[in-house]
Amino acid sequence: MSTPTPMLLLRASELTGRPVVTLGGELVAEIKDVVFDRTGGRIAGFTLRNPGLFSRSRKDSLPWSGVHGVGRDAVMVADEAVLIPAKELAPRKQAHKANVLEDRVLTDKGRDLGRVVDVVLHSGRSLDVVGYEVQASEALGTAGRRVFIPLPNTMAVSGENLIVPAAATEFVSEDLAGFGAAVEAFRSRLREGTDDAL
Amino acid sequence: MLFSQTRKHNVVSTATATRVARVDGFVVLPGPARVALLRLGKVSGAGTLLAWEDLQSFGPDAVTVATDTVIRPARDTVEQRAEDNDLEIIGKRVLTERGMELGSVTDVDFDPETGAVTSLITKAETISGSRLIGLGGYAVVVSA
Amino acid sequence: MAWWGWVILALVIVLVLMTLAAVLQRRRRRGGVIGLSDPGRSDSK
Repeated sequence: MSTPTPMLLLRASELTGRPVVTLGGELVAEIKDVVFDRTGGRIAGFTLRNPGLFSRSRKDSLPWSGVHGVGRDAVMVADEAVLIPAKELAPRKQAHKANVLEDRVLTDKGRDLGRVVDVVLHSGRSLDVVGYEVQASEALGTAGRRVFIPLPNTMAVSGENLIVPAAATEFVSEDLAGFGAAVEAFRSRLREGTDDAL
Repeated sequence: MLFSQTRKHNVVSTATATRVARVDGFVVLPGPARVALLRLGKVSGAGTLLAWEDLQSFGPDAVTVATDTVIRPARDTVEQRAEDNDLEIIGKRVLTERGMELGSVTDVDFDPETGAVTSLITKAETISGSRLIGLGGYAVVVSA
Repeated sequence: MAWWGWVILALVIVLVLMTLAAVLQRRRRRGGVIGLSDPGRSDSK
C-alpha cells in the first residue's frame, strides 16, 4: 500500500466528463460520478452518462475490475462487455444520499473542519481515496481557503458524517503537489502511534 | 511509402489500360497493422472499396488492378463504416492503452509490397505500426 | 403594444429560458463522489 514511489494524485472532479474508450477505439460513454468504498477508500467504479452537451445518464456503469487504464485523456476499457448495470455498482437510492461533495468533515474530537469540495485520489495499481479538498472552516488556520486533508488508509466512517482523526489537521496542505508527502507522513504517524489521538 | 504521397493516385485497369478510379483514402485494420482496403472515388459502379488482395500492384505513380470488377461495395459492418469514412485514420486522435493522448495522426507509412503499416506519424512523434491495438470511430489505440 | 414590443418580449423570454437551461445543465453535469458504506460498517466512536 505505501510504496516509496512518488504519489500520483488527482481530483475526482477531473475524472468527470472523461471519455470511456474501448481498446478498439470506440467511445462508449463519459464518466459521471466516482464511486468508492468508504471502508477501504478504494474506487469501486464509475457511473456513466452519454457523451455530448445534453447528455443523459446511463443505466450501465463501469466497475473498477473492467478498467484497463485511467489516463489524463481517457479511461480505457477492453470493450463494452465490461459494463454492468448501474444498480449493481451503486443502488440508486443509496447513491443519491452517499455523495460526499458538500458534506462536512468532522474530526473524531468533534471539530468541524469545513465542507468537502473535492476528493483527492491516488493513482497506482488501484485508485484510492487519500484525502478531501475542503473549504476550510475557522477550525483551521486557513479559514475560507481550500485545503487538503489526508485520510487514514483504513477508515471507519459512518454513512452520515465524514470523520477524520484529529491528527489529520497537522498534515493539512494547501497545494496538491505537497499533499502526497503529507498523506504519507500522516499515515506513517498513524501506524507508529495509534494511541496519541486519545 | 506515405499515405500523403499516394492520395489521389489513379487506379488503372491493366485489362483496358484505362483509369477506373482514384485513391481517396486508406482503411487500416489492426492485428497486425495493415492497409486492408483502399477507399476510391470517381468510380463508375456502385462500390467504392478495393481490397488489398485484389490489387495487382501499388506502384509509385499509380495503382493497378487486373480489371475494374474487383471494385466492390461493403460486405460487412466494418467495411460499411470504412466506406462511410468513419474509420479514416488521418486526423484521428491517438490514445495509449493507458489513456494518454499522443496527438492526432497526420500521416501513415506503409510497405507498398505487403500493405503492412510500418508507422503512424503524429506532429510530435512516429509510432511503430506494431503498437497499433485498435482503430475505431473515436480513436486510434496504441500500446503504452 | 407596438409590434416591436412583442418582439422584445419574445426575445427576453427566450433569453431567460436559455439561461435557465444552461444553469440546470451545469448543475446536472457536475459529477458526484459516491461513498458506499458496506453493510457491516463500524461507526467510529
